[in-house]
Amino acid sequence: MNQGRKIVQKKMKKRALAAVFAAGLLASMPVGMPTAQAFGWGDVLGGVINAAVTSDTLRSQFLSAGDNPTVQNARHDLALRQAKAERPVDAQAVAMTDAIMKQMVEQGDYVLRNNSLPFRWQVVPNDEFNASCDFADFITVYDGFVQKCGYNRDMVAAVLGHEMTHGFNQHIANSVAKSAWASAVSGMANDALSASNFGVGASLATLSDTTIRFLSVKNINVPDERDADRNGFFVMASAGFNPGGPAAVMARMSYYTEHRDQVTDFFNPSDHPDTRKRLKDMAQLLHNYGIGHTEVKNVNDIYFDNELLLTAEPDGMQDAEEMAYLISGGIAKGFHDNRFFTSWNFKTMPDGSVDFLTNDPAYKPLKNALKMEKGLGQRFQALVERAYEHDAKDNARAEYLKEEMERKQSNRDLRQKQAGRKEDSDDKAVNGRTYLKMGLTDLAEQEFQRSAKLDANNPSAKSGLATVMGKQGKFDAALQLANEAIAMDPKLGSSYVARAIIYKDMGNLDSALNDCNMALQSPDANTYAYKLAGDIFHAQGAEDSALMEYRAYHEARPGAKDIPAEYAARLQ
Amino acid sequence: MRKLLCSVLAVVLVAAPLSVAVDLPIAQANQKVYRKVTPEDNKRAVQFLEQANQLRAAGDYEQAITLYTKAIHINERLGGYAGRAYCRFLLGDYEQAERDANTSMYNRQARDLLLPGMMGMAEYVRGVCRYRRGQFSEAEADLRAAASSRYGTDEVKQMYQDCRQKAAVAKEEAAIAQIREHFANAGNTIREALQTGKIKAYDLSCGDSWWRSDRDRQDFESTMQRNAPVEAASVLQDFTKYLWVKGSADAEYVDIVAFVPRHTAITGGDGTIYRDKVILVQVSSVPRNIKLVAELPPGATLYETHMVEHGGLAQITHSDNNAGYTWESLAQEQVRQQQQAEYGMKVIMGLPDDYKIVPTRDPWIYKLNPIDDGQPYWLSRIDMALPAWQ
Repeated sequence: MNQGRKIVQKKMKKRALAAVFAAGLLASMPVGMPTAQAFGWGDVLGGVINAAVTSDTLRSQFLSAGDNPTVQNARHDLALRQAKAERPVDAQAVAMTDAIMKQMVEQGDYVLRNNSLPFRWQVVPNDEFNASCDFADFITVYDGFVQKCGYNRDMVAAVLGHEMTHGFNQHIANSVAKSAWASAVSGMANDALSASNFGVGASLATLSDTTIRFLSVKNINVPDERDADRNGFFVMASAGFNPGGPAAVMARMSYYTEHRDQVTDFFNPSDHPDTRKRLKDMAQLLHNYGIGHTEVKNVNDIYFDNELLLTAEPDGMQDAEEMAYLISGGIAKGFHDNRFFTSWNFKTMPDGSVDFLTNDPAYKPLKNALKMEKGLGQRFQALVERAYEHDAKDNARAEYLKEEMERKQSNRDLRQKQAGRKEDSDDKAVNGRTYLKMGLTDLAEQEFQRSAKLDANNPSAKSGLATVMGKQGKFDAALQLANEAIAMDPKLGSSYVARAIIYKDMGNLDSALNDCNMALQSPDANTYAYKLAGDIFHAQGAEDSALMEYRAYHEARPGAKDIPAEYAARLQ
Repeated sequence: MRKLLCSVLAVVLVAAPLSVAVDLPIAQANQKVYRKVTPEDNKRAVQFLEQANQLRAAGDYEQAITLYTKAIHINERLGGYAGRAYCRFLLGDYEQAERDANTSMYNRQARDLLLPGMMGMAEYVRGVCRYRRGQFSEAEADLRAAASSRYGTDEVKQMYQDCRQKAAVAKEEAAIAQIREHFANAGNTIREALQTGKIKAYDLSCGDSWWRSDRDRQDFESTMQRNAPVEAASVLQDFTKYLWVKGSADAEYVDIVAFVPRHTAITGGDGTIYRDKVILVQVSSVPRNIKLVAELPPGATLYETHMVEHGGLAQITHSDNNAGYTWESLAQEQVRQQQQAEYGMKVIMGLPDDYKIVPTRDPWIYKLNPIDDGQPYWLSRIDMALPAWQ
């Protein structure tokens, strides 16, 4: 009897747990996901139980896709096709985004994992206030967003830093693995992804828009959004931007989150923490970044060591609250970047105002604000001097910059770990070659550089860099690199092909043909040499020889589509 | 145990609707926040503004600035920026004045402009400040607005006229710089297409008789010498490398055309070799792409331009579609006649009535202006080393 009761209890327990699990699963369904709606969540629910792909598999598929330049390129093309506004893109927004991204990519403190692509971005004409980064490190920026930020570089940089973090921390792939609803979408994911082998080097000739759109589903959870906010802060600040930008852009965003009809992805409250809370977080980071000296209170009062310094005013399109954080950001940056008071180099100008530090635009809001009132600059100078005296006694720098230092150390550790993965070098070289085929020489160069850094003795990296140099017209350097690649492994045909391309571009066709022969005779032959030889013979007018080479190329690579049409017709 | 399970279920079931209710304040947490202003504070700020306006009208600018600032600090949304800009401007603080004028123009409402003296005030301040700093293009619109307001003194009107002229020059220089960049991109695209074998072009000047007589050659050389910023000896050789391109300044696509001179041949992906013929090549910089559009139809009309002085440009127009243009160098009338015979085209001397070619400061860039002041086109060259035809 007792035993029977226990069995009933166990059954009850199982049912209850099933109910709790089901309730949890339904509760965690992504209610407000605009992009995902296109895929019909209703249909997907039916497949929840029969999901064939585990979240780990899904994650690895996203990561594979995210390390394939062809997928990134497809995302780029799709972004261009989806540009909504029927007008040319705002050239000022493009120039500003390009400059900011370049500075962030080159100077920001972040770690790009070996299985991530270098960042690529595109500004598209769209009036909405939005930006997004996908799993393939492709960032879409609506020019409307830049316009609505009043073309303020620090506010734009804050959002781009946030988006970059989604990319380099692989949030989308990781969220898929973490989310309970991953199993719910896995059936659909399987349908969308199984047709394509996304791995490094996969050519993906027929990558459908549906697949690409599916891969763009943004299901980043709130903790990852917070991570993007915090990491984005440090990326943009370390790249030299005004650290008040993130708080200022949150202040601007709160207007748009209030007017939700103008808000889409980036500000969707379903997957982002509420904006005023995010602003508070960013303001706290700013406070710490400036060694605790600066703080914004009452919306636009700027306090320096708990003493009211000034009340910020609107400036152009920026309102008083935004300006308060940008002014405060100037103070914070000054303290953060300068360990000594003397580095500020205060000087009184002929008009009575004070100047200090450099002409870096990050300090401009602060310098302008200090001119608003006579004597304010001198008072600020005295406060800064006093603050440095206190900092030295309190060891304030170490205390306030603790989080940043920990992040730096963590980045160093991760960098070291990634650098030890020599086996990833080949994948990067393959990516480099894929970029080369697309004509994206800059990105190809980045991937070959990463490949060479991971394995200095990888001839594919050397020969890839040689090809890049050749495309840039630096033939001497290109030849030197190609020769080094051949010396590293004389059996590798692809290195001879790389040198042949350089010779061909230099007009030295005989040497190019010699290298084509070497490439084909090598133990690890590269049949692209046939194509190259065909091109050279064709250029020389030797049509029969060209046809012979193209025929051999066609036989070696039946799928190749780069044989000139006049010869391709004769091969049938 | 049962109690425990029941509790868990109850919590789950109750939590679901509650989570919706808990979400409600989020909307408020997302709202834009401004500095808290009590009705009394606001009343005080309005009074400050009124007093400031009176002081400004009475010429006490320093005191007016103080009161404007007090009002702004209490409620940033009340305005007062234009008035403060004007006071600062008259006291010679041009930098702050311009910033205030700028802020005013971003934040003012229609009712603000109805206040006495406000219409045109911010434009006047910003326009003159920008004019003083030599930012003529930026100042033009402001000064135009100021000139038609109560601030439109003779001096301001004169400034506006001066600004218009200087802005036009600056605009053209900016356009030329942009065109130069566009054409450089187009050049890179063509170069890349040539390198990758996407298109092929050959220099036929060695093997083919482009010059039918030494006289032709001399004529052309002397023409090019007047125009080209390169040494005389290399002019002819260089010319064989040039592709003339027409583009538009406002689009990110270099609009149309690369002209393939008669002494070159070019092939597209289909293997057809266009030789001694004029074809249209569409070049775009973003994304970098190139494709052969069409060979000119035999019925196209060839217009000759004021050729000799500017390198001998000829315009060829589709007889049925004026959207496409190609440009060709012509040395002299004889060549023109030959063209007419060879291509079966109608050749008309002189420019089309609705266009004129205007040289620019850059000797290799020409402006093609429609008479009706419509969108101009631009012409430039692309330097390209082509392999010899064998």
